[in-house]
Amino acid sequence: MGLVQNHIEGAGLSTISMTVQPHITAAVGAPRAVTLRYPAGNQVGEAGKPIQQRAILTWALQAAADLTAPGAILELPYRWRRFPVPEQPVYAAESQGAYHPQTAEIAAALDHLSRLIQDYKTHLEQRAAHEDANPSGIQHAPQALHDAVARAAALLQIIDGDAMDQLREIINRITVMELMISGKFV
Amino acid sequence: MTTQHRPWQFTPDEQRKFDDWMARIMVGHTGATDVRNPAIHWTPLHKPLSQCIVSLFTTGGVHLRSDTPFDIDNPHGDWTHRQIPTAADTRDLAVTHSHYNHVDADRDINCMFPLDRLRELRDQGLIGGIAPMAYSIMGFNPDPDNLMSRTAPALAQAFQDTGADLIFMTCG
Repeated sequence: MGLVQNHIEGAGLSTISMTVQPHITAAVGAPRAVTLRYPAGNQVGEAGKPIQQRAILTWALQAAADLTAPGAILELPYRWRRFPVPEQPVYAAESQGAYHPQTAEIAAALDHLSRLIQDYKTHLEQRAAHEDANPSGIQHAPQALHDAVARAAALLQIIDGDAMDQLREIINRITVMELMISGKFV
Repeated sequence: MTTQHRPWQFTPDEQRKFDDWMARIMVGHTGATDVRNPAIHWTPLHKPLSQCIVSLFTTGGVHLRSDTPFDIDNPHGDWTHRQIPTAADTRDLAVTHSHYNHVDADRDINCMFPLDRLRELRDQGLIGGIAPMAYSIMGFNPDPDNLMSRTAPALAQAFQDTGADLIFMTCG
């Protein structure tokens, strides 16, 4: 993608590309790109969800106007199956391919876990701030509370970043392989 | 809407993933070559988005059902391209590509090739218009020689002929 995009940009046309593998896009070198942590077949969002797709497309087109550095990659803040506007999907057609509903359930569970940890981290931050303002006199209390905030942040990073990325890797690679083996994938 | 961005720095995990991916390609695909852009070209938008004619390009193997599908049996890939009239009904579009999971795109092509969404943004006035033609390739090309020497120049000329100011691109 980056090769063709760069050639077209060199012919005097502005381009903006979507990528879900920003490290590959960065290595090849693309003029302008937008990335989000979605599976490879969903670069403009989930199927049958026009509000979500329109938001991602709008943001990407705006980035084409706003990005000023060659090679810039803008990361959108969305996560797979965690778009802020809920939509009941309406599909235009049936797919002949297999579908793994487990991946959607895992994504929903990670989403729930992420929100719980975020809430708890907020609670710990408030608790630490209260200790700072009104010291209890317990010697290690301030340090322990601030350590807990840092650990909650690290836990959130694992769920929100690494765990979600592992799920996308499974969707991207293993489901394709299984579909090819089953002969259903054309 | 913010457009803060940072130069992409490889994390050790991304570096490992990239090295693994490249190693798999080199072992699995005869004739594969690692080609990267020696320099990044830059053509800034010269008018507001609301006046821009926008077109679509994808490496996701999208084509009209009535058109010849991409060759997914050739181990060396398929470097040819397909033309898609942007007046087409999106239900007449199909995907032929065996290197990504297009189950969702089969059910709603807009999650890879957002032609219906682009029409809505045009009707809302966010963009000035849609070019009459969009173009597509099937992104699996282990050796991009033909792709770059023949297809890319043809695509650049075709997009210029359609009067497009901005090309929105998705990859398969």
